[in-house]
Amino acid sequence: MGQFARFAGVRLLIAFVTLAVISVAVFAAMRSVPGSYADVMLPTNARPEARAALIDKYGLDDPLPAQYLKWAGNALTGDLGDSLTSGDSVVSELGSRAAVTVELALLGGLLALLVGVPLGLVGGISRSRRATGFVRVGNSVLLSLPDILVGALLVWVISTYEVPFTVGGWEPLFSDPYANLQAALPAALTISVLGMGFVMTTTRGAVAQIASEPYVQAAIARGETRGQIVRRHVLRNSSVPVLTVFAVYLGYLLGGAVIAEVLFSLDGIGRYVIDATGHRDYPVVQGAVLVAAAAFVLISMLVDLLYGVLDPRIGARSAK
Amino acid sequence: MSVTFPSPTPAAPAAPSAGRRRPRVPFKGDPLGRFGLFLLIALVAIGLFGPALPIGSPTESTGDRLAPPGDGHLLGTDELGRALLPRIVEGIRETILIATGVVLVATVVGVLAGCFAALAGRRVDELIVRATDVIFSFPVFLIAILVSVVAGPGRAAAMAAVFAVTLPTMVRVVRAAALPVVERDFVTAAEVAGASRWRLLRVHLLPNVRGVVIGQVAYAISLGMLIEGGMSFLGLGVQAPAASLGSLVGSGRLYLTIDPAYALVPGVVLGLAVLAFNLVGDALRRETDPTLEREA
Amino acid sequence: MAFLEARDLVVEYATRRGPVRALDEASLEVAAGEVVGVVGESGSGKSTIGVALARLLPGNARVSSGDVLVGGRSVLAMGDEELRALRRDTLGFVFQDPIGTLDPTARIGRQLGWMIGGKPGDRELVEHLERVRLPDPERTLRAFPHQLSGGMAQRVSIALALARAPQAVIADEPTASLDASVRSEILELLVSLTREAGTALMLMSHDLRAVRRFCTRVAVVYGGRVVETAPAQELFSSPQHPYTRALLDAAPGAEAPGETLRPIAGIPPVLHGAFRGCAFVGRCACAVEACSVERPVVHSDDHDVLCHLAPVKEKAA
Repeated sequence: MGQFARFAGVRLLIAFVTLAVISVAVFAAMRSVPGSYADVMLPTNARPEARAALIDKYGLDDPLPAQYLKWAGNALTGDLGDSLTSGDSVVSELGSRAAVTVELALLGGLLALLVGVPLGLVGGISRSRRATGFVRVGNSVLLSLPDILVGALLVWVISTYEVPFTVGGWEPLFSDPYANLQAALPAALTISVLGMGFVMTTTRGAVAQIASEPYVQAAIARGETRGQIVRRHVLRNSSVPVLTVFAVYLGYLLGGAVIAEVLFSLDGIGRYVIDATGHRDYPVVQGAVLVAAAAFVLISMLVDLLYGVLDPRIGARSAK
Repeated sequence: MSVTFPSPTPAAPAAPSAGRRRPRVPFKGDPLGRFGLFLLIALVAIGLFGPALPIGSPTESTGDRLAPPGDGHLLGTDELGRALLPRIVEGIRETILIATGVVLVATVVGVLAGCFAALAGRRVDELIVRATDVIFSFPVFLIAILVSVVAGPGRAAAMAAVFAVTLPTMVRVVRAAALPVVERDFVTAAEVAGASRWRLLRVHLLPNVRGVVIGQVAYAISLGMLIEGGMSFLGLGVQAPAASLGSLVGSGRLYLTIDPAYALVPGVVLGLAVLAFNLVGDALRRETDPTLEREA
Repeated sequence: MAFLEARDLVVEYATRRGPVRALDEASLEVAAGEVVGVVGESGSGKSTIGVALARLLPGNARVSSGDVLVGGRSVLAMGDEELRALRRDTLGFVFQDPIGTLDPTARIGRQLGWMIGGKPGDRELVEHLERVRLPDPERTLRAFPHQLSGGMAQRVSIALALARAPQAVIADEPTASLDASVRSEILELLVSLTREAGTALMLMSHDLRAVRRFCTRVAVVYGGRVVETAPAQELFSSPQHPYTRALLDAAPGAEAPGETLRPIAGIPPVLHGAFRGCAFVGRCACAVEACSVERPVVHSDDHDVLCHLAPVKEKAA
């Protein structure tokens, strides 16, 4: 267990460093917007007192490193400033929209796994020419379907024909699960197609490779059945590469949800940020990017820890 | 009845392998690959020569707004009365150019970085791999949003996103292909004999990574087109009056119930373009990777 | 009565450069309870015989003719279920790379439990590991393969191979990847455990000294054929086939003081199809005309030699 704790410690450190680097990048990006930071962060009709308060709050007369520390400190305590357009606190605005984005990302990821893993497994194990040919075509098609096309098609179908799905009309999951899924499923499907392709490709490759590993050959020699070999050896051992791709894809989904939110008019973080980008609502953009980056770092760290659990060799190797 | 006694001299190093004697017919015995190649050539030809065809201007209004496909306008018109056919042709060119251009730059950088990682010591190698890990798993949309905030939305934001997505994979693929070469004896021998790193790269590494890089380029372009499509769809990438396939879907989505072709046709064309590059990449990989041959 | 038998077995691999013949009418018998050593250079086809006994040939390999029998039943004619039962209960395999043949993601106890079947208690698992003389069985049960040394992992593999009390164990270079210091210990363990249980053992090895020490009978494989089979003592004291003689001369440890080792000139052939002559003709110092055009046939009963010159030698002796 000591070994694992050390492994976990290293991951935590890496996550912290990554987050620090990202926050510096965001800070630098916001300061390189033309115009002074105070002008950028305030509505055009702001009064001089508000301006003075902002300069004081962020120490805008201090040297840049001091400004960064002040800004990062504020962000850490949950103060991301106020929206320029609505005047509401960015943190509370993001919080009220997070549920939609998180549900879309999780649902999309789940769909990608549910479709991608079994198809990849079939493609990797099957020896029949027909099955492998079919899988190859299916895989190329899944990897080539643009999410914007799938989404537009679904929106068109839903608004033209009688189907049990809706465009928009989001209900919170726990107040009306059925209505929630009516709105969430097509949106999640939109962003999951590419992930299905990725997961399928990776699963197929990993399974094909593991099938030739000596321990699988040995399992065959010991008379294990096909089902036993898949359950005992193939699934577990192929989970690491699949998880790697899945983690990257979850990171993509955090942003990819934007496309579904825009297409299906859902009030998530993504659409909020895109609108804010259009209105040059900088506090919102900056806050949302930071929060999304933090979420991404958190996911990567959890996935890294999961590696150590799934494949004991990884934990041992990196703790050295 | 044949018995061969292989010569006892060790096989000569297969350094500059592949090359010269490539099969004359591309992707022989691979109908999917040939279909992809055909599609790719057709789309590139349309993108290149389309503007010369008598199909009208992509930016001038015809007067009819949101006309359905058919009478007068093959694919209908948009909300400003611009004919969609020439806009889609322009979109094909824009989308393919952005993806291809960025991927080529990413390839040059990726090949250099990947070979450098393989040749350099352990420390540098690990650093490069870690860095690509971080960029690779960083959500692209955040990068595009940051760039579009600083530089304003436009091609640059979409290109930055495409670059950020395609570079890390390229570095990894090249490094993975270069590592075993570096570890082979003849490279060590060349190093001992005092060959410069640049020479090692040119003579030993590049010929050996060429195969995987060509296949990877096709994949990267297909992914790049998807990313560009998403960015321009959201209004972060190509801006009107210019058009990319993604930006057309983005403006067409508002009229899905009135004129579904406006959004769906460019979407389908984008899908076909991505499919073409994917199939070609797949076929190239099959040609360069002998282990895949037997599995079929 | 042979328990394991390869009968005129021809196995060909499909490669990019056309078919390669790994076994060219190889015949080999292992009686119940017998310890047979199979020796030969890398690529001679000895591993192919071993895997062919359980129809474990890789996907690109094909049995062109001949037959494989275990306990009198043809392995080639078996259905899937029957074949699985054969691999699971009748045969046991020990491979060269012990750590690689254990699933890296499962603890040893779990893998042993899979092999035994049902829900074995800890006590039962411990007993299996005690049998292979692992010093700390409880701890080994909780370990992952990468935490074991090669020698410990090979003991685990032996425990796995013997877990269902098979009637024959096929061990392909079981000590080749291990430290020299533990090799003879592991071999001794394998041989003594199979002897105790009355299990037949087929031991493929490069190590002539070990084969001489542990095996009752030895088969020499060359160019996809079994060129000589004889009781171990006899084979080592009076080898008949020119290849066997060359092999013994080339092996360290067998030379008389002051004598130098004589490596075999040339390298083994790669067969692409049926070959009429003797496989060794290209490297044989005493080849006659018949050797390159006529396939030799087996001579004598207890000491089989696949050589045109063998009967002459016998008369001379």
